[in-house]
Amino acid sequence: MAQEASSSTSSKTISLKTGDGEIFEIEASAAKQMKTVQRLIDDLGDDITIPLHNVFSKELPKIIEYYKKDITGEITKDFEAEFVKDLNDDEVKVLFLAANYLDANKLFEFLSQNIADRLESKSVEYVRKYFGVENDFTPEEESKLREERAWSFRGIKEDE
Amino acid sequence: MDRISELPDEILSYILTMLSIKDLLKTSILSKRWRKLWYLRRDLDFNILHMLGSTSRKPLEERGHLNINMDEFVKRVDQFLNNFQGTKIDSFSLSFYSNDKHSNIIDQWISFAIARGVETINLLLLTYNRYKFAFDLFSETNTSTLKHLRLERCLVCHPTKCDYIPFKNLRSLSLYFSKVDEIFIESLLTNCRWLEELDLEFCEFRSSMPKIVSSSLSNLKVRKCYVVSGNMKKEIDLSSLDCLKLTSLEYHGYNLDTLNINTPLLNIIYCTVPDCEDPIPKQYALFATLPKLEIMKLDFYSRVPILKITQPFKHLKQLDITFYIEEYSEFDLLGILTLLQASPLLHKLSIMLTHPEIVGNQNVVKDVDICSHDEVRVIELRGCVGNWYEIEFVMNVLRYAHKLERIVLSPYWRECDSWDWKSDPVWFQNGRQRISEKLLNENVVGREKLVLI
Repeated sequence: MAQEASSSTSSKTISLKTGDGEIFEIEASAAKQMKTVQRLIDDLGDDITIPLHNVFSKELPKIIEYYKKDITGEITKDFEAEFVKDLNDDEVKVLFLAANYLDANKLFEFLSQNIADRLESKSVEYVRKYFGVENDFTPEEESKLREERAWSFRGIKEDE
Repeated sequence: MDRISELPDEILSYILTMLSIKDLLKTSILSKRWRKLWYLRRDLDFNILHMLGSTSRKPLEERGHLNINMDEFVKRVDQFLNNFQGTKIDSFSLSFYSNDKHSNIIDQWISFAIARGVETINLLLLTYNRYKFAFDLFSETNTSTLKHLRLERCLVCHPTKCDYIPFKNLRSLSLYFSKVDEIFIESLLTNCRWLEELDLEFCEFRSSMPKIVSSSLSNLKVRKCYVVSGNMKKEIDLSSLDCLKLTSLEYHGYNLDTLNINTPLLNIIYCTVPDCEDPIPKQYALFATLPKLEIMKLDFYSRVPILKITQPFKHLKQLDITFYIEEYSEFDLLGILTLLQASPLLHKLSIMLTHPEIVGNQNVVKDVDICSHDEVRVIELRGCVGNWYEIEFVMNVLRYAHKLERIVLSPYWRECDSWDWKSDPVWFQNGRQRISEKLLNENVVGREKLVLI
């Protein structure tokens, strides 16, 4: 595509519209990292505002911030630590689901690791709530399993 | 999609991959669906400290093992594997303080992983008597899945009845503090046509260092190996290295004189330079013959003597020198200028002084007579605290490195040095002050290129 060959690709911006109607700009090279967005650009053209029904104005700026750093090759461990430092567990979850929807691999993997870290030694009830899992075990079934694997339930952190 | 649990199995498996083994097992009771999701995990890492609930970040080797319940650990790993119904295991890692009675069960665990197509095995077994890693655990059908093997403190035995080529697909082999027969290493080198990386550190061989001959090897690391003869440890050195594809060599031995090498593509060398009386050390002559050598990293345990290097390092672009000095009284940096002179195309010179101290007697700085260097662009001197020999080196190099763009002086000698040098009054007043006085005054040519951290 002519877009790829020309050096103006890096300065070209794409308009993204969130599910709650706000518009954000992103550089074309950053948009390329989000496969869902790139597919929409391929179908609709890059001059049209791309609609993202499942991503909202609360999380999209954070995602854009991440990929802005990514295209300059500046993502470091320090940056990533800083990126999630002030986010609570639910905010990370929302970003994770958005990264999945946008098919943004790098951010998705980083957030998977962050979620795994946050869930370390949390209680089963907390994890159920976090993932949105309905417990369909009978109390007897559950206590039998807990007994068998008792060691994995020791050392649980207090839920926040 | 507003709930993580609505995601399909393969997406959830990303999070599952990153959970600790303990947390992974916990997910098995979230719900009936989750009872089986944990089988998607393909990398199993059983570390005794994590499994017994320790949050310490200290590596296993540094902790005393008096209070650790090994039997409990074995019970937990056993239970995990008995319940695990995944069909593929990619990697199996085990770190614990084993003893002889655990050998059988470790064999069983490894067989479990082998039966599920394991490609990477890492064993760190801190034990008095080395665990015998029996290649007999593999059979002809599954021996070719193994790609990466890392064994620490093991006894590596040649497979006894082997009429097929074992480990044809091995890509990397690392042995630390292990005991192995050199014939076996040589046969692996011949038979493993895709072996790219070999790492032999602190290993005990039967009677000599193996000859490293391979048409595929690209990275070799050898460190302080030995043989035992009559209850005494005898140090042995690498002598024969014939690897047409080798691009990187890291060698920390005792003596480089016996080295015979045929490594036309060697690009990076990292080695410890033995203390040497000889002003024309043979290793430099050897390195100078390498047609593609571009990066050289040298560790010194004493000062670099003023060398007479007759053959230059014709292609060298980067030189990193690290000093491990305990006593700075007889120390100076001028010998490095001879190495610089012998590297006419060098772009970057990096010097690191580990454990810097401010020397009591600050000697007078002298000028030396040297030819100009027309290529070097960047010089870094880390662990620089303003001692006279550092100032002497900088003044001299500024005079003759005409194309130099910048010379960086920094007291930080570790990557993550949190020591706040700026608040240390001794350093700030003496060392840093001295650097500013001597190197930033008008008489110093090239002082604009100085970067002080």
